[in-house]
Amino acid sequence: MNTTAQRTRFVFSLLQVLTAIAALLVATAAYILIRVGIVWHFNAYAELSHSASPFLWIAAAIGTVGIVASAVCSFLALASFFCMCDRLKRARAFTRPNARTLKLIQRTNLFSAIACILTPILMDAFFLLSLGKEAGTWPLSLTWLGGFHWLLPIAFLYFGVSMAAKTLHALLLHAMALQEENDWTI
Amino acid sequence: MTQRSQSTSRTLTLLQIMTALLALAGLVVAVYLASLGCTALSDSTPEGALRWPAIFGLLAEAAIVVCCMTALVAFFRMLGRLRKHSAFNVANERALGRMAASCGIAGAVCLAGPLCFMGIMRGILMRHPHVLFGSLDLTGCDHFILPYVWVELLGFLLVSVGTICWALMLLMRRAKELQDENDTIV
Repeated sequence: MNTTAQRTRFVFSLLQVLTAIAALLVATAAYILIRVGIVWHFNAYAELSHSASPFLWIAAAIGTVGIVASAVCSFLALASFFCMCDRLKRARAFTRPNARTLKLIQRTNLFSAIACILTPILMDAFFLLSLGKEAGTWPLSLTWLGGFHWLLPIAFLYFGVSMAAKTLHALLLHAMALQEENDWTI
Repeated sequence: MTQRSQSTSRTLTLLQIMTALLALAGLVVAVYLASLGCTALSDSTPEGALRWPAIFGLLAEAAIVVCCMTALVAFFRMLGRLRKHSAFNVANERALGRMAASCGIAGAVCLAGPLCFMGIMRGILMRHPHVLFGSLDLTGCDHFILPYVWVELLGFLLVSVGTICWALMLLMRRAKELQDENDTIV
């Protein structure tokens, strides 16, 4: 095996290890966001409005669904990236399965980004509604420093990954066309 | 220009805007952290105990900022070249190599920096147990450890991006070889 092939194998193996660690981090982040971002806020708002109103339950449900949906999409993207690294390790770079994987990564990350933007906005709206007559006492610090607002910078990250995957998809199609042309010429 | 290349061009422009935003956000965070470091340098504690950790922190931060900015500038310029339809060339390969190296160095500093910093702080506490750290509550372990966890996460992210850039550089080299072969045959 020559040096370039060895190096390629090493890089993609390293990427697979990093993907596995990233999956672990996503699971931890989802757990923390649900535990701190939602449960803690649910209790704090219930205390403020002196009861757990239906709006509060809706906000908690939206938050949980949003975070779980983003986490599931991330796992899907990471799993497909892991498989793609395996294919790339075997020196099959410019192929249709890899193009399909990049398309899947682009779509799942875009979906996660949308979920991460909508979840905090809807949660804020329902938290505010849950206060009812006590709305004047809406604690800005409690809401804006709340854990679930970390979803907004995370959305930026997801959107960036989605755009990068789209660009790589376009480049891969270009490389595939080159390879096919090359094969036909030979 | 076909619809697909128009869409790719739009994506690349969007990625350039996101890169500029990321650079701006990074600079704001860096200036904020540097101001914290400078406050520690002017040091209200007796015996100037925080001076050396602050200098170490500022140097590490400067190294991280320089590396990240190098990577972002290289990425921005590469996106500009990709928009002009020159995908597989030596300039882009070099840019990816530069990004991989910059992100790798910044990631290594982020991963090792907090550990060294904690070592220095521990040394200071051993030598000057009577030193007061002002607003730094060393007994509240959560507040003391949490910023390091963020830096370690940033390190993981930078190492991952560096590895992806390295992998892309190897793939781009392969695509360039294909293109050259194709051009020679034609």
